[in-house]
Amino acid sequence: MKRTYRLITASIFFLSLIILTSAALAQERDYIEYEFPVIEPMGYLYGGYRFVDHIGSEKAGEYEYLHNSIALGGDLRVFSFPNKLSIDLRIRNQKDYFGEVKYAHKDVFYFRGINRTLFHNLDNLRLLDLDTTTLSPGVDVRDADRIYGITSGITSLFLRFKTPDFPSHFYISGNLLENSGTQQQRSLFGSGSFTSLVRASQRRDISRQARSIVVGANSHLGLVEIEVSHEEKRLDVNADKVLYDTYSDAGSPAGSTREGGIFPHNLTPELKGSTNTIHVHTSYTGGLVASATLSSTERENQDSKARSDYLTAAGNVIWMPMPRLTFFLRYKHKERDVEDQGAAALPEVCSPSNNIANNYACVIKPSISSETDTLSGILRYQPVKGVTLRTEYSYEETERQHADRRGLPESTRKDAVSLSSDMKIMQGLNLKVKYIHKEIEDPVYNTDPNRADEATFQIAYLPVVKVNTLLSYTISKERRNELSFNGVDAADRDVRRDRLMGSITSHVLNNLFITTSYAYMNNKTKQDIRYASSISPYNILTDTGVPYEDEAHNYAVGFHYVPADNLSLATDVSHTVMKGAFSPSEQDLLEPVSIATFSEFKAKETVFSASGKYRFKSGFTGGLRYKHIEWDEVTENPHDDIADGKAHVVLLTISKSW
Amino acid sequence: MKRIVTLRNIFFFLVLLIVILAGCETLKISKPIMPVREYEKLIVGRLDAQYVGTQNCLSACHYHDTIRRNFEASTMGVQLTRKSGMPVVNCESCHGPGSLAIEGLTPEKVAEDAKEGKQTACNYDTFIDIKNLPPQAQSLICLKCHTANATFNLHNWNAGAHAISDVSCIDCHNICKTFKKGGPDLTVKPRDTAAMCYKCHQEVIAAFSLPSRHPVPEKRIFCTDCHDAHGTTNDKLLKKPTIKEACTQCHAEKEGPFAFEHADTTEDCKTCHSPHGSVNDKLLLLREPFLCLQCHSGHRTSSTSTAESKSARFTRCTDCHSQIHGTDIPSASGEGRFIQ
Repeated sequence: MKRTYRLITASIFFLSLIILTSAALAQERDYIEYEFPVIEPMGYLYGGYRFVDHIGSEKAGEYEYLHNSIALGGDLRVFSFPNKLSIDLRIRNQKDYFGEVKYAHKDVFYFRGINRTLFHNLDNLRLLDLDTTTLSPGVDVRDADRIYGITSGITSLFLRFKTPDFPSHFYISGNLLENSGTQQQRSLFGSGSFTSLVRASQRRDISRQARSIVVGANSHLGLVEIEVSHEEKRLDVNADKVLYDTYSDAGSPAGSTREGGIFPHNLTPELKGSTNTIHVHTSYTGGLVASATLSSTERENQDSKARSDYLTAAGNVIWMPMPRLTFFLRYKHKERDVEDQGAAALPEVCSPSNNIANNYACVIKPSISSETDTLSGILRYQPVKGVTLRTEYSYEETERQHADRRGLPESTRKDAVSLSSDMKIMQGLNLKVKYIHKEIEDPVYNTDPNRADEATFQIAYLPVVKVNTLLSYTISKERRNELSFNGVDAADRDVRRDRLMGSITSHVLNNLFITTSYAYMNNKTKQDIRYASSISPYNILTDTGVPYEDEAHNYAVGFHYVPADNLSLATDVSHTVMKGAFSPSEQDLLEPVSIATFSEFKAKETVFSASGKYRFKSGFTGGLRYKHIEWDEVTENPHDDIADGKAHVVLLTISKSW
Repeated sequence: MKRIVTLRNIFFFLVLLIVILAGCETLKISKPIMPVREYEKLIVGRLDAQYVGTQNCLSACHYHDTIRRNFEASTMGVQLTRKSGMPVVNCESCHGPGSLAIEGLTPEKVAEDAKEGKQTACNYDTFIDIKNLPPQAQSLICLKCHTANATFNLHNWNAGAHAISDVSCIDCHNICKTFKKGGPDLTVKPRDTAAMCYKCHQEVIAAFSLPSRHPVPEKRIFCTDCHDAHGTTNDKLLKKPTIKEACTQCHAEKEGPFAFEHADTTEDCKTCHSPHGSVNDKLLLLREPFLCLQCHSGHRTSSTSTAESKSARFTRCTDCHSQIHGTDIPSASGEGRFIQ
């Protein structure tokens, strides 16, 4: 027995040794070590000046910092085995820049850092007081003509280590979002209730930081690959976290018994949270593949101590019995558990010290928690080369807790079927069609339909060499049988959306490239709306079948011309015309002025850009770029007015490549 | 005391070590549960050809020098040598064995042809015809390594919308043209993602031409900030498990949870917002007040109400309900009206 045991052990030893050495020898045989040639570093540097001329609203050039500035930038790429370095920098001005740095050592160590920062011009919406003699409703505008904007910077860092000779990674990734600047804060003053309505507008300083850091590891272990990661997230608010203002006695109606005083408003709470994730999947080179993800997220509001927990479990199985036929089965379970700490967590706002009568109480409804399960099956079939057919069925069920307190259904069920096909009808002619049908039982919000259908048709055609045409049209229709306004039923709702797009791209000449496109987007909704009568007994009334419509037409043309090796020219024009309005029909809503006129809208936006580059014999390249943006509000609606504006931006650069 | 260091114990220790090492070696090898033999046959190349190595493959002619340099400087370029500590990857890893392609091709013949102004071509037909492979087979060329190489962004590739829709790796990753295209890396430059996605998602170009939009045309927000083209378990290939989590990566001040929640509408930002673009301010799906009137009854009004009263109540709901995403401060009634 002892001898047999030794024999088996020795056999295992030698067998393993043979496997390992033969594997090693197989790798050694015929292997010639690769020698990298010298690759010279590549560089590109430019500098210039950006001239800006601007008139009227900053809506023209919403994402442009509308001040003159110096512009700088360049690229550097260095490859010297085993190190690689790449730097890409574009500075348009002090509030608008992009930078990317990548460094790798043997691909064992990899670092990537990206920063992008831009300036966002924000609106200062006008609050119009039609009768200044009445105090309520009134307006309190403290920031007339003030110009607002926020600088937003996103910094992403990624650091990865690979273990040589074994497939595993360790990584750290961080994300920092910083917002700083000023914005308009609109709010309701007066009593903060119906007894005294004073719409107010004031400046708010913004300084926020959202940080997240992820630490993870990943390894491939035979049949499966596993990744585990942990994320921490924080939101810090450094300026005007909350605003304070004086409110008058709330008085009636019932429930609004708050006595006057200074109260906080528009708090931005600080947050803290974390996420743990596990991914597992099998080899993707197989005919049977499975993957699973489990993710758990926690968020805590640092001010009210409200907590939310999310759990997501998802899995996929893919079976490819033959190359032409594939089955996909997907399952997902989502849980949302929200817990508020009640009025006790908000002593300063729910039991304010200056509320002498002590007759003001917070009524915090329990938040809605929910569980959703989604199961879907997809079949992909390729009957002949160039034709793919797909069909999908999915079933989703959502169960909610505390929904009844808000007049919402406690459960919702969705069934959806989709059919799609990609067809290469002939050389240069491709057709895509897709149809989706959904049935929803007990939809949760009025915006959700009972039945929805969507059809997409897209054709790409190359009639002659170097001419590419595309036509795409999508129509979607939704039908809701019975609307519900806080538990009170109303009639039906119909929605229709149309999306049409056509484009022609052509290489007219070898050095001339032209592209033209047209897009049309239309949204139509027709539904009952409800309002309260201001005449006692203040019944809730219905305006039946109120239509809403908005639409946009976009026309775009672009030319790119290279008349000589050292000269390139480009021009692009985009012109968008858009409008939107709704049309109530009840006299209560039309007299003495229609409530629709306050939000009626028609506007045009034109963006024109022209640029040219000329390379001098000295190797330097001169560049000129001109951009003109024009915002024209055709319907001068004083209630929703964003003034017209024009911006001209000229960028002159000189650059050199090495 | 019994001796621990015996010949027998050393022998068993060695056996154990060898078994562990052999086990670890097998762990490094990706094993499909069920192989897709038809696709594997397509990407294996000519069985009568031999692997000759990149040096041999390119030594005779310089036609591929630029491509070679691009590859050398790319992410996988360092894997041309074992000194990288990674498995060796070269031209033949994707194109198949190259001996038949360069048969009879000598530096002398190349020089002779060059004198006559001719380019000496390889016998390309003996390589794998990558461009004409089915998309799944094209992807398999990459996945044969990347499924076993701990590529952590491919966890949901196979059931993702792109894989289902016959999109292959090479539709986005141009392996041999990376150096000129902007960097020694096969990863797509973030600033180029939109142009790449637009190739198929042309309808999105129209949405981004609307006046209310994310700064994607300005190249400050990238498609990859919200979507993961490599596949996720979420709708629309969103990177985050929920729409709210995707949006609050940047709009963290609206994430909550709040003491007073707007029911659970804020879980799906798309209930009110159109993320790619809208004719309406703040990316709203519809204009205020109609947007809110879809679900909520309007304030008290009648034909005898003044224009001023109507204007205050039916212009923009968010003039007064300024904390519509949720708040921790009750309104004057003590309830959550999102006013304070």
